[in-house]
Amino acid sequence: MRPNRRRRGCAPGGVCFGVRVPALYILVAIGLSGCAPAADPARPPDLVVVSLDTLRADRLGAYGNRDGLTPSLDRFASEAVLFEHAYTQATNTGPAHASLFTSRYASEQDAGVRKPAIAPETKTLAEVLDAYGWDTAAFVGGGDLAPEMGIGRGFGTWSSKVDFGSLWHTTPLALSWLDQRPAGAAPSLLFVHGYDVHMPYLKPTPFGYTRADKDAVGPGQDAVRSTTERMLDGWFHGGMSGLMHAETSEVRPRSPDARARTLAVARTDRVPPREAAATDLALVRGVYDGSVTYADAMFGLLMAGLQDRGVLDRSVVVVLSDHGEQLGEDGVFHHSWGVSDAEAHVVLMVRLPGGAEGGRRVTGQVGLIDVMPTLLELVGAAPPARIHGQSFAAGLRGEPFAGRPVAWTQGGRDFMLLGARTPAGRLVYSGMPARSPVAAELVETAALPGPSFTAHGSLDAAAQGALRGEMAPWLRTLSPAPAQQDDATLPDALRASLRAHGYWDVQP
Amino acid sequence: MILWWMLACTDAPTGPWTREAALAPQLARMDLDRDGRIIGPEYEHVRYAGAFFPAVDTDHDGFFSVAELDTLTTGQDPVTFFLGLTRMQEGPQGRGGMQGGMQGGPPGMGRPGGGAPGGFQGPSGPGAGPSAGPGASIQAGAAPSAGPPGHAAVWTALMLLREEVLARDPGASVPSSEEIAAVEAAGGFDTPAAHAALTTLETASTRLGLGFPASLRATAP
Repeated sequence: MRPNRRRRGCAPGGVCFGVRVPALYILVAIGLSGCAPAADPARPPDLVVVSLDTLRADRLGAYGNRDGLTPSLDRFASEAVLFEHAYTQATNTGPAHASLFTSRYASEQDAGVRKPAIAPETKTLAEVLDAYGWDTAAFVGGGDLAPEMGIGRGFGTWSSKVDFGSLWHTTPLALSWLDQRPAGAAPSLLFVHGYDVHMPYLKPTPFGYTRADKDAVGPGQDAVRSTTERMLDGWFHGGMSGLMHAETSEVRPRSPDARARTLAVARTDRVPPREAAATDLALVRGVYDGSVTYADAMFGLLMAGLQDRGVLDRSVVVVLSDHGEQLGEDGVFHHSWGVSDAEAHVVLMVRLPGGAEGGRRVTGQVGLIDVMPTLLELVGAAPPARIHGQSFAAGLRGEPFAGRPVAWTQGGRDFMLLGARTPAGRLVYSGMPARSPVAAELVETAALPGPSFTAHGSLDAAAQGALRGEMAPWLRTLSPAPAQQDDATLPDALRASLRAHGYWDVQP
Repeated sequence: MILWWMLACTDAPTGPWTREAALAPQLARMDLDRDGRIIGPEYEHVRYAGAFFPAVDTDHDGFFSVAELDTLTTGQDPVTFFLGLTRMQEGPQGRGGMQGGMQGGPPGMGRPGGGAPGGFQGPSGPGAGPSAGPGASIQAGAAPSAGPPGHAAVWTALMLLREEVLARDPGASVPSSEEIAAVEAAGGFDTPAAHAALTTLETASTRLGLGFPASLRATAP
């Protein structure tokens, strides 16, 4: 497929389209195993990307969970190629999607964590497809994907009607957009996103308490029912609503001072600290699981809508999560704190037209950063220069596919955590967290390089050394971008909504 | 009645994707006695801040069906649901409002050519749908008041610097956690105790080449 130069022209700024062989999308169009319905081989498949925000991979039956939380997603897995070891490149919504759409890392984007605008010289997936004459539309749940965040660059439509909205909000709009497309319209990229699993976890009856006791009392219940709960450093943080603070009994604070620090925050907020028991943790996790069942139902409704319109079987449908969620495992709750599996291991499934190759499982490591080059390969479009992703189309075809040797994840609310994940284990660089302008100033003034590398798994000394060598260029590029640096540039309502959902935990 | 149970219990559902297949598993989760139907107490077991059973059993047959779950789910905006919880916590007026169920939602939720009664009526363009309603609600209702500003940022910076100093020189003279907490609690740096603590930390930090942020520099009491 060639860029539609007559209609769109070559995008200024230097997207270099090379000569492409359209054979691959012909393979996709006819079904890689020959079992898909007939399709026009001259037309690439449509693309549908579904992002389920904050969904941990380990909650899906297809990823080994045995609690029956996700029958719709599990069914989808049976019709798709599932990547067992998929990792996000950033554990926060905005940067993770920026990597998804640009195949570049979070620290290469134009701004900090809170406003991860895409760097001007970077080409997005939507921009590339637009140059080929595609129609592109996105229906997202606001928050970190609100238009002001700049993630939607290149999309013809970027609809964000509700902050922290669900597929409940975005699915009708997406299906309406499909309904309005005329017969014979250009190929399309449709992106649908929802915060169904995102905090606040509690979802409406009858989903919210399916997996937890609604009559339980205690700090866990209080946290679940508090709009402004923020769970920091092993503590439930009640915030302005003043419900409570509590330390988890399962995980100790990461440093002896964490307890004192949290007590000080509690004093500042004038709320009493309350210890949480294991039952409190179980309740929080159960309510999170309830939100997973809700997301699964909403996802099933979306799939039904796509199928009713004939879109499902003529499209490549990618289902992913942008990051996971800490549920106390590392002494914290929420996300964007770390780079461990709880946050970094994500859902990634690709349904080819007609469900071809359905049920295949790929063990090689991949990242969300690899999605863009894969999709471009599947539709015969040339990827832009300067991307870091590697196509995993070979894995979709069932060909030998080793995956990427290292999957990188940036974490922390200032990208000062960098994880290098190999099949043998993980090496994590932990820099100094700069969660506030004052702390950032401290980092700059003191020129602190970050104190530690930590190895997980069975990385030997040689492997650690090699990874450190690869990390070195990264670490030189990490600026101590304070989490609040963009605060003043955002609309008041959006900023307040983000704060209500657990961001900007430290006030300047 | 048994159809949803069969759908829910199939390990790998096949056939067309349907709304029924998407929602039936939730009924299976609610079916405490595993008899393939949901009666009032089973619904009430998981009901929270939503309509009572008689209101959702719209055909009055005594059972909660997939179609009734579809109607209920379609009518409940998950965002405004949570705002409703907030109102409920804030006072009896909000509590009373919640008991009628969260029925203010818009969605068509994928029904080709149609929508929920009183809600989103299907295809009307990308700019249509749940726009002003829930969007306006969350922005107006969920935004918390500013609350006390606190000095957590100061606390964080001081504690981090203290840890850095001790990591390089475990024997260094640094303020204790309690002394740093006192700085924060004082709400300023101009008390004698704050001045002493900050001076101690700056001295140790500077000696080790770590520097010290100007915004935290102690001022004379």
